[in-house]
Amino acid sequence: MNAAAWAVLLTVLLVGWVVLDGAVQGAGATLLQDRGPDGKDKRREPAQRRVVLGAVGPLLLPGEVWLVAALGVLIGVFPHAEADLLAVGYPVAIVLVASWALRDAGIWLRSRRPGNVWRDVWDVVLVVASIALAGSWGALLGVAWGSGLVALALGVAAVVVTRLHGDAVVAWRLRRTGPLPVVVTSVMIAAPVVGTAIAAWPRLVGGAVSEETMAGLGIVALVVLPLILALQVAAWWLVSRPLDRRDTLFF
Amino acid sequence: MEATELARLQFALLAAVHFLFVLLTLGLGPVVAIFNTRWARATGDRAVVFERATRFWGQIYLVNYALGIAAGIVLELQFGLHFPGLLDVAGEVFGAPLAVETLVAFFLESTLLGLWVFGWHLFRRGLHAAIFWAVVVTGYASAFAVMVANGFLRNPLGYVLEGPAGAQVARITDVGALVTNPAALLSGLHVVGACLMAGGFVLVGVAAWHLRRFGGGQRQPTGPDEDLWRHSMRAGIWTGVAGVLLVQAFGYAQFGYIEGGFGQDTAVGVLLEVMMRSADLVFLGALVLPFLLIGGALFRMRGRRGLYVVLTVLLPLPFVVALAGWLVRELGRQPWVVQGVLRVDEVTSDQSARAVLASLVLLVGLMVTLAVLDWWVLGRLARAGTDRLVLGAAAADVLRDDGAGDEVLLRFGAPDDGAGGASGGGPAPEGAR
Repeated sequence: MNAAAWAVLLTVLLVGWVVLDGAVQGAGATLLQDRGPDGKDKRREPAQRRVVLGAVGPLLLPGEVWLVAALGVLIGVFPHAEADLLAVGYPVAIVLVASWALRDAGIWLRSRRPGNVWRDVWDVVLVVASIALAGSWGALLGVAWGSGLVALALGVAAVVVTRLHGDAVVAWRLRRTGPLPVVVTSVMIAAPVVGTAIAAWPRLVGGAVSEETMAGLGIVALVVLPLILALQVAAWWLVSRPLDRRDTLFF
Repeated sequence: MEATELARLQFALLAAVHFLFVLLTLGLGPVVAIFNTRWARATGDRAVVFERATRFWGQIYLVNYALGIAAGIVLELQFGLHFPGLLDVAGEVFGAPLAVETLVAFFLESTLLGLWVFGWHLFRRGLHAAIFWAVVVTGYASAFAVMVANGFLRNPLGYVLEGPAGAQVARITDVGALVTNPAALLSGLHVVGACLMAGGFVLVGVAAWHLRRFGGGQRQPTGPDEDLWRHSMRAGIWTGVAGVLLVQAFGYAQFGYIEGGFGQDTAVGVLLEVMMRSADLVFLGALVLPFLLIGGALFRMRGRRGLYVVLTVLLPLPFVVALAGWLVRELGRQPWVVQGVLRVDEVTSDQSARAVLASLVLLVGLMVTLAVLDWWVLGRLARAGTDRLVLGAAAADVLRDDGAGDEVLLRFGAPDDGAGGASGGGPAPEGAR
């Protein structure tokens, strides 16, 4: 695999992350918001929050691996591009990893103890961290464009689109809607990633390692790719089912 | 402090937090897999015991794993944030095993773990157990890939430096030498031993705490729960024995390649001494405890309650010792980041000391807080035992505990229709506390 093929793979990994993990971020960001039968906004009941987390729960582990893998490709194949990006985007990257850790802790720990106070506090943490994660991701994409204004715009756009995406996935799992809204929000959430990859293409490909190393790593990647895809398809199948009594409500 | 010192301190603290979670993940994994397999093969009362064992220890595994991922992600970004020079000079050699780790091993491990948790009532029991075995195998592969990267830093092999002086770049020349580096292989097996030891101490400590409550004294356990803790105690002792043997054997074997010694730092000498003497003590314990399993003596003998207290109190020991061992390895390499090739102060980023300090306070403060909360939750889960296990519970039982109304419960089946492998009728509603 040459630099162009690796850059395509990196883009695919990042798109995979925003589509899968974006649903978890969106559901987290809107966890406390519900709409009553009269059409007015109200605070979501604890049992309904558990249903929402159950709807997107199976996406968390198979979703965040895509960004971890993308980081691995950055370090292994584009180390110079990564060093350049993080030198400029230093504070944004710090907020990104901090909010990511906080979001994960919120999801994993909130249901581990009974008690309204424990869960309510974690739920607020989850909402804030999910918004910060989506926003800092969008901003980091903007940093790759080399403009503070674009960073701000993409950050705000990411926050808005992840909310729509999370809502769409939850509604689909509860079979309140069909899959079409999920397709639409997936395209919306993926578009900035693809656009940024195209804009940053020359600097990305220029920051790659030697041909031999790329080829060697490429063989490893091509060998495991079928296995990874098969397991991912199995994980997506879990999520494509309507939420029912055979689901595990671990989160 | 200078930016370099702060960046080093930040990395060391974050790596320490991550390492503590990894120890238990790798140490507990094989035991959960064995319990899961025995559950898949058992029938009747034994199936109940092993189902509970799988769910209890699986839940401990997961809650520990959760923060392990978060800490690992924060750690992985440290290279790019604070040591860009390492990526610029040695990125090809050092980055390649890390890329394999994330792209292959961790990707598979985490996806499989998701299938295991959320496919609990959907897959056949045998397949379900096989999925967890695959989690364990990929987890160990992941750890080995990290040891290859770390081994290169301690004992660089299989590479060549190219380019003009001042702008040299390391390239891989011999993949075999990189992978079979004794600093990766021998040290990797040494670390596996440390992990199994940690898993063993946790199994033994938690089982001892519960067995002390039961009183014991009978030849046969009084019920499935006491049986579960006896099984956990046995599993823990054997895991710990395997662990300490590996730790000792490959600990001493490592002295072969460490020609430069451990540097001049006196702290390293003290830590090394603490680690080796503690391992000797555990070794002595490992010689005695298996004999107490003969005829179930450990569960019946006089003075067992006192012994249980000691075993519970000793639970943190392998974690402290493992941290000492890791500090010996990393401090022993200073001031080099790649031994004899590249110094730490040559690779640090241009960020100001103030910026690095701010990120240190934010990230280390956050991760330590989350880690402490996680360990507190793990302690509460360990004490609660098999009461209200969420992993593998029927969805309706979980929601009823959350105070769900009928309109929600309807979707998740009637109360007693026994979803999948759930434990039957389910507990009484806990109510919103």
